[in-house]
Amino acid sequence: MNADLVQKAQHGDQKAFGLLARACGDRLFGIANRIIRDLDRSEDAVQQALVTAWRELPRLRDPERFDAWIDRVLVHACYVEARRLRQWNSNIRILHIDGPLAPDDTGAVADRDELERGFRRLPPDQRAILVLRHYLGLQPAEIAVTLGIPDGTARSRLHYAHRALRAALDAAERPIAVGEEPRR
Amino acid sequence: MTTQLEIERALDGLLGPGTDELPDRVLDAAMAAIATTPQRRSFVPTRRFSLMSTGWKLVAATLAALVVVVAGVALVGRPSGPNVGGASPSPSTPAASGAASASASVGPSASASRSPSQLASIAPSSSAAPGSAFAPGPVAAGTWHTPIFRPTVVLTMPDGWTRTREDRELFGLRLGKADLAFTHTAPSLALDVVHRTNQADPDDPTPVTLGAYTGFQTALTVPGRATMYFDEGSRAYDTSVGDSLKTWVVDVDGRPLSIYLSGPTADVQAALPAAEAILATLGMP
Repeated sequence: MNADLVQKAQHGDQKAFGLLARACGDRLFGIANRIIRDLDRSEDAVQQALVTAWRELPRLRDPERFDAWIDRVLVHACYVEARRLRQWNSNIRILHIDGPLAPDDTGAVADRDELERGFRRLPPDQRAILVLRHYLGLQPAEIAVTLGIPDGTARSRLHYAHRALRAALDAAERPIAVGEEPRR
Repeated sequence: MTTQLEIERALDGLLGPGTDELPDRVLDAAMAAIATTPQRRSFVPTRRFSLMSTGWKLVAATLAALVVVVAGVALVGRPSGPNVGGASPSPSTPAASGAASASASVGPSASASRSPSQLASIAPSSSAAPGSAFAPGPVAAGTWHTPIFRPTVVLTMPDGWTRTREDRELFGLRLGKADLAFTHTAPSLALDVVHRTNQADPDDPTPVTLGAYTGFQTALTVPGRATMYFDEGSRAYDTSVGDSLKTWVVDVDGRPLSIYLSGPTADVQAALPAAEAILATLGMP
C-alpha cells in the first residue's frame, strides 16, 4: 500500500482515495462476499465501507496500516449487512408462511452444500474470522490486529467457529430418524 | 467424525482465493458519494501545527476561536429542536420569476408569519406538478409539491406543519419537535451509526405502501446520544437519549427514497398518525 496516497487521501485528495479504493476493491469484495454470501449485499457493504473509510480516514494514525484498517471498516459494514439480510430473510419467511414447504433435508446433499449451509448458520463475527483466516491467510495475531480485538479473543473465536462448523457437518452426516427434527 | 484437518481443508476450498472483481459501478457510486462527503477531523493534532512558529499558532488559534464564535452565534440564532439537515444550505431561489404564483402558493395562515426575506425565497409553482409549491414556513391544508427536491414529491397536507428545509437532496417538514425528512440516503448508513454508537437495532422491517410506492418501514428508539448521517455523512442529526426514529424507504424507479420521522419520542408518537396520513397521499408526477 502506498503510504503517500493514504496521506494525500487523509488530507482530502479524492483522486488519491479513488486509487486506493481501486487497488483494494477486489479484495474487499472478496471478503464481503465470503462473509455475507450474497452478491448484492456484498456490493452494498463495500460501497458503505468505502464511504465510511473516506470519512474516517483522517483518524487513521499510521498510514502504513491502511489495509488492515479498511478491512476492519469493511467487516463492520458486513456485520450490518448480514444483520439486515437476516432481518429481511425472517420477514420473507413470515410473508411466505403458507407457501411451498422447504425441500426435504434428509436426502443426499453434496459435502460443499453441507459446508455452505453450516457456514451460513454461523454468526457474522465467526464467519468474518474464518474468512480472514482462510481467504486472506491471516494468523490469529494478525486477525486480532485487523479486527481490533485481543489476541486471545481472536484465537477463541476461531476455535469456536471451527467447532461450530464441525458440529454442523457432523449433524448433517447423521441419518435422521423418522419423526426426529433436524438439528439447527 | 470430521477432523480438524478436514475442516481446515474444506474451508480453504470454500473460502479460498477465487475470481472476485468489484463491479466498476460500485466503485463509481462510492466515489460519487465521497464527492459530497466531508471527512472528519483527526483526533491527533497534526505535526504541521507543532512545527508552526508561535506567531502563526496565535493566528491559527485566533481564527479557530473566531470560527467557534461565529458558529455559536449561528447556532443560538436557530430554532430549537432536532436539527435535521443541519449542514444543508438554505433553499436557493429559483431563477424563474413568479411573484403571482408564489403568493398563490402560500396558505392564508402562512403569509402572516413570514418575514420579507422568507417571502422573497418562495418558489414558484411548477406547472407540471399538482397543487402549490411548498414554501418556507407554516403549511396550510391542501395539496403541495416540492419545487426543488427531486424527485418532485406531492403531498396532501393537513394544517399544523411547517416546511423547514428544501434543496435537491433534502426536504424537511416539522410538527412540534418531530421532523419529517425526505432524502435519498441509504438508511443502512444512519442505522449503522446508531448501532455502533448505541448497540441498538431497529425493529425488523415490515412491508409498506405509500401512495403508489412500495417499500419497507422500521422504527428505532435511541438509547444513547448519537449522530446519525442522513446524506452519506454530509447531513447530521444529533439524537438525544430517548429519541425515536421511524423510517420508511420506498422504491422510486430503482432508487430509494428514504423518509424519516425523528425527534423526542413523545413528539414522534404524537406526529406519527398525521405523518402516516400525509405519506399515504405520496405522489411523484
